Amino acid sequence: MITLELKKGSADFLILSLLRDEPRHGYELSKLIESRSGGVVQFQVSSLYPLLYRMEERGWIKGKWIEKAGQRRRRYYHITAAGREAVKEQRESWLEFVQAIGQVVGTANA
Amino acid sequence: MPDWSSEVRARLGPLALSAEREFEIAEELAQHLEDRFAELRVHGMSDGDALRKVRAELCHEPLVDALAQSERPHRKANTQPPGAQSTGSRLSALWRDVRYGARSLRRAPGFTAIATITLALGIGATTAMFSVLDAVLLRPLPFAKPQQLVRVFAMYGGTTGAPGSLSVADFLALRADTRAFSSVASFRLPNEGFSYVAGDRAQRVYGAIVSANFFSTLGVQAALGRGFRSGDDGDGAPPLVVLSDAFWRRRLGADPGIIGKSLNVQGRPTTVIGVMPPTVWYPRGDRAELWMNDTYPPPPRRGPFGLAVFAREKPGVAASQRSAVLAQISAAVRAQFPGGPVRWTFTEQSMSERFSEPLRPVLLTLMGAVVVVLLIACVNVTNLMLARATSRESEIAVRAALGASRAALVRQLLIEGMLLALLGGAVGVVVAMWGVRVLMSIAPESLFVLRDAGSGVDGRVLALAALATMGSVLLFALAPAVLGASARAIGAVREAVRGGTDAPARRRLRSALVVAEFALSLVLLVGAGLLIRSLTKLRSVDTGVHDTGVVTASIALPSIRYAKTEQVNVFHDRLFADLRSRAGIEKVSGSVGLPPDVLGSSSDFFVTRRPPAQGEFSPLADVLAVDGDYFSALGIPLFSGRIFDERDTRDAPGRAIVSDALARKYFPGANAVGEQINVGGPGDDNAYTIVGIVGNVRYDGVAQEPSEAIYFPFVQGGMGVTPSFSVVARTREDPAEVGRLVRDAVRQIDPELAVANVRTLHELVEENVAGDRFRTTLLAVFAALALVLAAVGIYGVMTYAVGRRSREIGIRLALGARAGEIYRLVLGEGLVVAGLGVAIGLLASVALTRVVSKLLFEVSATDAATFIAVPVLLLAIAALACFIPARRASQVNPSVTMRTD
Repeated sequence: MITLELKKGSADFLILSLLRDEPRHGYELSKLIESRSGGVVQFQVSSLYPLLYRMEERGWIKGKWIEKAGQRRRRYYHITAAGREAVKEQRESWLEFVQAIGQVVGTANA
Repeated sequence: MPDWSSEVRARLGPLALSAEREFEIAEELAQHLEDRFAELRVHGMSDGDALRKVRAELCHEPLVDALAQSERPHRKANTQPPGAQSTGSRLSALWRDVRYGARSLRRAPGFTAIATITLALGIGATTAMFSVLDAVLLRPLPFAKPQQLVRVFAMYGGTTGAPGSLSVADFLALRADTRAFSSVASFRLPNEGFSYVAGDRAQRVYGAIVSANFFSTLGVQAALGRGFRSGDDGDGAPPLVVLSDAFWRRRLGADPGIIGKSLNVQGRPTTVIGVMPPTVWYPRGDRAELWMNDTYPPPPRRGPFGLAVFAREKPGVAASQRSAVLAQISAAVRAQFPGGPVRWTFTEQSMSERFSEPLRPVLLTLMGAVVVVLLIACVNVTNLMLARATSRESEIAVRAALGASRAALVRQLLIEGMLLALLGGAVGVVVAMWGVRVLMSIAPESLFVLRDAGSGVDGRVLALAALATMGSVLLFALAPAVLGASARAIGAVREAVRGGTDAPARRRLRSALVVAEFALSLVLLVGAGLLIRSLTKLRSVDTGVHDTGVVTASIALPSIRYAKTEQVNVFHDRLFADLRSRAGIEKVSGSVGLPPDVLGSSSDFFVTRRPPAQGEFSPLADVLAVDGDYFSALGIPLFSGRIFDERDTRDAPGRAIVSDALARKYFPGANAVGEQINVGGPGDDNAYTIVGIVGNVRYDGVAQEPSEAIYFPFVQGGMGVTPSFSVVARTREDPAEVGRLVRDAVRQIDPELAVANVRTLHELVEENVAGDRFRTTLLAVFAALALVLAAVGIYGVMTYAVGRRSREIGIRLALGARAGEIYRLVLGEGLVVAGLGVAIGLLASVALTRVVSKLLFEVSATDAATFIAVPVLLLAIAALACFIPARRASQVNPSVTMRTD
């Protein structure tokens, strides 16, 4: 299981990536992260929502109460233009980081 | 399942979030926890295990610490709604409420704008009108102890007659008797003013000729130099002048060394002895430029009249004692000059009453109109606030459910109302200041007292505006606070959001307000309608002359250089010979009077062969000295005989032309031409042969009956020396050009003479009805304001009602109702409300228009046309205002409205 420390740096990236395609609510996000990481990454309610609110505060995502037919109202988050910028940047720096790690690890192995 | 929401909220406590934010977070997290709980149960976990696991996840990380990172700044950016009792001090809670109120007003710009404009108009109009009312009715006259000052008049024929002016004999007798009055003063107001020559420029100035104790009786002091003192009005006293502040500043550049200098007034060197402060304008008011000293040579007979007299009451002398003294003095005067009428006496009238009395009905009517507009404005805002309170029911219910106390909610609504009132009040004060300026600029000269209002809005007026503001706040803020702030459970939220039905009590209240609005508007509209009808009649009055293409100008000949009739005649002959030769002037004549309200003088007369019995009072007629072309210049028809011509020379026997009204009254069934009348006394010297009968002309004002007039040939001197007269010219040229011609001709004969008042006759007529037009315009503006406000009111109510009932209307449409029926439903409901208001308004109007009746000319206060047209107009406006919401209702899509649940 991934530790909390590692999550913190990459959690924003995870959430933004998930929101790139469509708006999602908090529970949905936590389930998606859990299933796509094969249960490795898990967000509890007590860490997910503060994170979402912080990201909203930064202007990366925006929450909106939406009522859908047959459902009670829920808060859906969608990604903002600033969020898209951020995810792009993070994606690039992440790739650089992975590359760098690979090089380090590869060199060490060699 | 546990109540996750309250579990979350329990944990959020230390963050002291806004209630709104706390509710939002709690709801979001609770949903998550519910889903998680359900998920765990689906996976086969027991209730107890699932519960424990979810709780553990909730406590997995300290939620508060995590949230504190984002929520603290979040809270600062977003303020709390009212009702959430936070830890702040009371003051900061109030400040928060104020900011919240301001924000919520900003969020509804349409509502705020309409409410502010409505209030500003109401408050602004009230303040402006109060400033005027204050200046004219409430503020004491600028004299020492003004309540002691009275005007004294001669009354003929008991108490029913009109108060008349006094003679020198009357004045001297009154002044000599000190039993009733401590001081008695007199003044004369020469219509034509005075000639004033400065350098080579001759000007016309206006003022009064007064007794020496004039200023001391008023109790005013000169700002510079002195007023008149005892002896200044003795027979043979030198000519002295006291200047007004305006004259001193405008014409003399506020020369501080003016006292003792000599001015050329009326062709005589006149010594300046004082300058009055700006507050002294009595008695000319509109044209107070200077005061000259009068002199009183011993009178050979009781007349002539024309002296205005005022007096200061002696303290401690009762009104009955004063009238007894006045009766004794009048008896003494009759004994001193026997042969005159016997049934006359002196009467007194309070000076301040005399000033305010003619204006009282006007200003009270207008003040009533303003109060009505303010009421309507307040009713409108109340309605707006009610509608808003209803549509905000969900917000209020949420806050109540979140624990806001009723007091806090009421406070918030009150603060919002207060903000609105302050906004409206502030804009209103601007409107008021502007309004006073507009009022003063369009006010006729007869309302000169307005000038005293200065810039208008003083402390008291502002206080009244504040009172009006706060009053209206309470009126409109409390109602929604009581009705709208009912702390209901959150269940009310859904009901309110769904918008099924309106609370019947509230709907009834709002309808009642609209009824009141329509009733008030109707009263105003009826008043305005009556005045407009009256003004129309006044303006269509036949003054007896054709006023198009007639230019008039006035000339005053200073009595020093034109003391003898011959001198006047020489000037007259030269001037008119010159003017007749000028191209562009078709007909030209001199005259001492002009329609519609410039009357030279009036005199008693009798038919020579029917002299009045001893002690009987002869009738009065207007007398004018005119040239023969006067009648053709003004288009006055000749009914019988001839007009004056070259036969009527200076030395020819006395001849007169009389008006048709006089001829019919005193020579009924006979031709008056050839008959003789005596004007101004018995004897052959005063006998004149009637040579012609002409059409009636109004000389006493447009609203008065045509005069019984006697015309004399100008060259015969008429009633003696005529030191001032008007030039009447018929022209096809530009009036200004004719004015220039007259000025030019006068300057060639006498460079020291000034030509004044160059006007077209049409302008003179317009000036005469200026007062009526002024008040009619004002009332019409207020009525229009009321109409607009009432229309906005009923439109708002009907739009709102339709919005609230769109579900019901949708159901009706779904069940087969046609658009026409929906129209009938909405229009019907609106018209019932409007009709009720109109009916009540009609009853009120019948009772209230009696106030206006004094202002009406040839229109009954219960004028049928007005009383029919105004309700029809009002109902038509109501129908129009209901039509838009009705159409919207008929276009309701049933499938949409019924699904909005």
